[in-house]
Amino acid sequence: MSAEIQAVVRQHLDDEFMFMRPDLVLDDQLDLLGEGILDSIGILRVTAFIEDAFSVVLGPSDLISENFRDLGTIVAVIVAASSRGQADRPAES
Amino acid sequence: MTVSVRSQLQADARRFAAARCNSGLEQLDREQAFNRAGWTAAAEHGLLGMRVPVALGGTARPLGEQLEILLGFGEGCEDNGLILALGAHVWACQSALLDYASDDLKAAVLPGLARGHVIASHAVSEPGAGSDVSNMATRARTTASGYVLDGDKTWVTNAPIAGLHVVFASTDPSAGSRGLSAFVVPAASSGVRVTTIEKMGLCTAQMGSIELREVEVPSRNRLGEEGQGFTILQHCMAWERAFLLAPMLGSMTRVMRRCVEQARRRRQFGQAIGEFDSVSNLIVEMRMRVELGRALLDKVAAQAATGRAFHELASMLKLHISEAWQQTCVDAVQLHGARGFTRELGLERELRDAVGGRIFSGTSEIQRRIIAQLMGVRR
Ligand SMILES: Cc1cc2nc3c(=O)[nH]c(=O)nc-3n(C[C@H](O)[C@H](O)[C@H](O)COP(=O)(O)OP(=O)(O)OC[C@H]3O[C@@H](n4cnc5c(N)ncnc54)[C@H](O)[C@@H]3O)c2cc1C
Repeated sequence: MSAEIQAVVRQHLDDEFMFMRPDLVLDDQLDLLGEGILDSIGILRVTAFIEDAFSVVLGPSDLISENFRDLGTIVAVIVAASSRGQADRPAES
Repeated sequence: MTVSVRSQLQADARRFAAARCNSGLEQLDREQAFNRAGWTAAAEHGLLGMRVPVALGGTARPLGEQLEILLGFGEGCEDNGLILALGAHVWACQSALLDYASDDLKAAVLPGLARGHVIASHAVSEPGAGSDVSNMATRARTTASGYVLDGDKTWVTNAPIAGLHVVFASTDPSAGSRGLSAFVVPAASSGVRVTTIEKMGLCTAQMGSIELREVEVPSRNRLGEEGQGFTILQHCMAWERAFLLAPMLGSMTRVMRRCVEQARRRRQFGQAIGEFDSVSNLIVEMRMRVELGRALLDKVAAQAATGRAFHELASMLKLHISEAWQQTCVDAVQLHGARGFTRELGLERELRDAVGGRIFSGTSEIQRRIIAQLMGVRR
């Protein structure tokens, strides 16, 4: 499953962010924060994409910048959120 | 929620607010005084605890019910400053605490906030860091038992009457926005000094500057992790932008009703002024703004209720309601002619209040910028 997730997230990062840095190649370890590819707004965009694409909810404890450092970490966060099975967790419904 | 429950919640809140929150408003506005009676009444009606779990002194109402109550409240309550004071307390401060405080800290502070005995302020802006909050100069130095805060916050709603401040400061200046952290600072802490600021509108909401000099804050008062402050701020701002201005849809409805009355009764050139297209069109636009705002509010609420991110929609809603509110008040003054411009009708106060809506929680220009950034149009 994580290979499929990785492919979807990689595609999204390629389409939406990597065009700004044609000098870099996106692999599992590329430091997205350190290279300035994801800033705080970028993290919000990726969060919204993940929640939509994988029907998961990223809670407050997921939303730390370290969780968006590289593709590998992002995939691990999605896998963990999926296994919590908290899609559509009603917050204040 | 059925239609009849919706309208009952709205009607109850409207009646209660009209009966208990408007007394002496003209004088309170002139003297820039806090509407303590209105605050107490709102607390008794449960408005301050709607988001807080029952175990912590709140009523944990579903978001949809909260919004119906707020719409009715906004229609009945003519004191927009009181609405801002309540909004900062609930949407900015309680959001930070509900989602980022430890269980012990929640138990210590949320019951007082839910009952309204303690008022909270959300201290972000600084003289040199308004729109650009990541540039804040307030520092939090680590000590053996926690932190020492130093800096100056300003334009903070509720600061002069608050029992606690939610303060954002940098724990790691070299890390920029990733070095920010958030703290709960009791107003009585040594080294905290608040001065009141007068303003052109929303005058009953007490605004102040907070001086923090060597203020000791224990580690247990930190919200979330060290360095998570900017994420916490974005989270609070999403809730505030989405829902703080919801009552203003009620407020705009009240102002619009007055315009309808005026259009029917005021006669010039031998007919009611509502017969002139340029007058009736103003009222049609008012109605459109309210209805579109309501539809967007429901969309944001539905997204927020799933627990998913709603920052982009929140900025759109904030932008729409704040711009709509100001335009509606400008047009209401125009439609009432000279009487609208005088103090007699209170419409000039509504207009002075509405101007603030385009500045707090991020200006209209900043909301447009955020939406464009979240759409991936610009960096
Ligand atoms: C009624 C009221 C209540 C408030 N309550 C609080 C509170 O409770 N807590 C708190 O911390 N603060 C509060 N504030 C402060 C508020 O958040 C700031 O005023 C606001 O963020 C704007 O900052 P500034 O005033 O420094 O304006 P500046 O940032 O100096 O902006 C000045 C002008 O430049 C424009 N501008 C700035 N940057 C950009 C850009 N990148 N693109 C386009 N235009 C730009 C702005 O839109 C504005 O028109 C409150 C303000 C008001 C009016």
